[in-house]
Amino acid sequence: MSTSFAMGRYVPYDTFIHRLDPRTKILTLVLFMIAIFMGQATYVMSFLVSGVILVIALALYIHSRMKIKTLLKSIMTMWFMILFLLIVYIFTPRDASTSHLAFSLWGIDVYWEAFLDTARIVLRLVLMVMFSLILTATTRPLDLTDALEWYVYPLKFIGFPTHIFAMMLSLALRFIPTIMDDVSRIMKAQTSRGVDYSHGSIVSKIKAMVSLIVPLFVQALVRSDELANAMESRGYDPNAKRTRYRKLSFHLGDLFSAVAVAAFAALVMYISISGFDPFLAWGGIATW
Amino acid sequence: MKALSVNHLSFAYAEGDPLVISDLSFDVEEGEYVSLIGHNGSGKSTLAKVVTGLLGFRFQGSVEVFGLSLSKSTVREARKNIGLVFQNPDNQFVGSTVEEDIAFGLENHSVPREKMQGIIDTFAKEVGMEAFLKKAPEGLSGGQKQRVAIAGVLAMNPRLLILDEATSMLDPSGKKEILSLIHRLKKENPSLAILSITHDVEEAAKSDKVIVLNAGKKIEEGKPVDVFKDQKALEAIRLDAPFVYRLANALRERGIDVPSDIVSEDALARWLCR
Amino acid sequence: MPIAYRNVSFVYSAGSPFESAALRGIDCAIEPGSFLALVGRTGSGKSTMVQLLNALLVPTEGEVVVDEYVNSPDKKRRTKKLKGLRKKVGYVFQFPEYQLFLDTVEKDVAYGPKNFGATPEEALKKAHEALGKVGLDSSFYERSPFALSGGEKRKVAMAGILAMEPDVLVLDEPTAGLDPEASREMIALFKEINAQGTTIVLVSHDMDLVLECATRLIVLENGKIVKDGDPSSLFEVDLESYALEEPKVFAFVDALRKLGMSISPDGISNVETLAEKIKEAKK
Repeated sequence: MSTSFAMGRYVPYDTFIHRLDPRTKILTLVLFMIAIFMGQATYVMSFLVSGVILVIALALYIHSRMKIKTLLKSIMTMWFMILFLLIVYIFTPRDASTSHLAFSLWGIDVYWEAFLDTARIVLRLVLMVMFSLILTATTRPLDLTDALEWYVYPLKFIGFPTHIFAMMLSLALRFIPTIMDDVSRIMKAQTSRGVDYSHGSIVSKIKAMVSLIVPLFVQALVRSDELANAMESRGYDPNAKRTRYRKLSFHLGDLFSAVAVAAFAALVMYISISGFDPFLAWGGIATW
Repeated sequence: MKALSVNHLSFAYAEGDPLVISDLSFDVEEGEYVSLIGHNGSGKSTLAKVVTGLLGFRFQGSVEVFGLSLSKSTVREARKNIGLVFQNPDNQFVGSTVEEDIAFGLENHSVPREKMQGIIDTFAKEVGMEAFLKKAPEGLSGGQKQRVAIAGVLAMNPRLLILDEATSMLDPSGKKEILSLIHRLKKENPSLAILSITHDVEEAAKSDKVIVLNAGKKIEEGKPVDVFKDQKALEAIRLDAPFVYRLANALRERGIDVPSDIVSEDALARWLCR
Repeated sequence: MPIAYRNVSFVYSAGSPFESAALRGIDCAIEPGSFLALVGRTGSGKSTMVQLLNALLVPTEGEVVVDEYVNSPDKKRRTKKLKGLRKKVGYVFQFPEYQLFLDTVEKDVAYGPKNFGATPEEALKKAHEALGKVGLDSSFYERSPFALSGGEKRKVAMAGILAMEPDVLVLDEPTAGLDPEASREMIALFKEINAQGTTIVLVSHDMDLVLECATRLIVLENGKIVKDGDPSSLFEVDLESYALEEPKVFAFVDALRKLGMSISPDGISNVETLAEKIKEAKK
């Protein structure tokens, strides 16, 4: 199994975060995102807020027993974007009277702000990645769909078939491992017949893909047909009322976590909106 | 009472297509274990889908499930009495875990959630899967998945169990697992009717009645002893006789005159060593 | 053409929480022309062992050598060009009908030879020969493989591998899901191919099939070879402890011996040979 596939994959440990209600986890993820992307008056304040969130994120990350290596790997994959952002920020026109010149190269004025802006956005992206990794590694995909279904439930009143949507999602998730097995088996079988999926020209690669995709679809159609029969014979009717066995449960720990994160996000929002910044008084770099 | 009564049934997938089932009649009595055998393509799997209404109602003749004639308006009611287990263990595993799969039928019939846990526990135990309730299908063997499928249909309290080649994709130990489970269920619940569609003649030899299907037609019907004694006839329609019948025939060809009433391995061994 | 496994180990998902060892220190050689059966419970390492044979997997330790081809974790020792190895070792996967994808039977069967460099005419010729071997005549050439019955699809897939003219044929549960007649035809085909000199490695749970076909038997348990000998030695092995079924003919010989008949399991591989032995013993 490739490492990229393992990235963000559910890992069945039993930690406080694993046990949280997925609805709580989605809510706190959104709250953290808001806190992360709230603009602050100065760079110092911005880095301070991000730094605090980074400490929280690291604590949660380690608590949920994930490997720092996984995180570093996913940050590595962002290097091209970081470079791109840096170039964009360097060429962003800046007001020379309020910006701080770092150096000039080939007639281009490069300001310190270009580096700071890049660092700020990269830090925010890293935080976002960390929280998303924590969510997907600690929550069974199925619990996520249940939580999503719960959140979109109000759409039912404008005629959106939320239960069919949820059934489709959970069946898709149920069959992902089965279909991944099919992919691996068909690829091995075709490789044995001399197909090369990793070398050769684009044309030969496309031809190789046909030898994978056709059998995969044929088999997926057979599977879906048999699945439909099995579901129908066991009394499934998409339009009928059904009861639910799987149930999400909200505990005290969820309440505590949601309130704590909400309070933190509120604080960050307050700081952002009020423009509160004790460092302004220091002068110098703190006022940038 | 007749659990299933099929009368002059004919079926083709589309109008003008050759008949897959042709003028077929047979009954499955309450408490009876009937095997329907035939080679691949004999129409036996189509039959399972026709009698459960999965292929619509364009068939000729009639199908009665516990006296209820199968039609568009009665199919939901009729299916409540039928538990259908299919061939492919993966493609009938609907839930994400064992317990959720057993719950699937209960959810469809709006069984209150409070009652589900007890039912799930009972039937998981019945099929010996109680230690795997939270497991996903990827970690289970084919035999285990089929046991879950059986638990899922048993939870609905069926009076007729139809096994549509339920063991044909399993390895020998999985096959054995499922067959001994079926035989135990039968013993615990004597009124349960079973229709097993199979090409495993060893399994068929242990049932109450055998129906032989070829090209959609019934070739023979009777007790296993009577059906399996004619090995040549079975081979002609691409089937085998069970081991003990084949061995007895091979011995007869070599001048050892095995009496025709010997139909178990045990009896044959004792007769040879008498 | 000798095949050698030298101290081969294989670990899945090494270094992740899903890590699991499939093979531990396998050492064995396979003689050209033999009919080897690999048996053992699900997860004992059989499939891993054969997938190392044509380098679908690379061992974590040790090496697998097929003629001049070396499959090793050591990049310096490993053979780079694997196409020749893939042609040499034909692999029939379980339910091989799922690998069919072209619109006619002959095109699908000719696909392998074409990949290995045959001209379209040569490939087609090889395809027709292979289809003849599996018992499908020219009326099948132009048909769509998807419109065939299950048994016919299996034969087409089988022909697709035979058309590559492999020296070694790996068969993974080749009779699973087939009806008795189709199984009989397949078994006859395997024996014929083997008699013509092709080495066969059969992976199966079906002990009746193993006993009927194989000339050598390896039992795997927990990634290790626990038994290696000729098939009649199965009679002495406690198969149940490896989650294997006793072949029906052996179970019957066992019953006869318990009742006092003196009969030896040597040379018994099916109902016919069993009946012959019983006749001898009765004299």
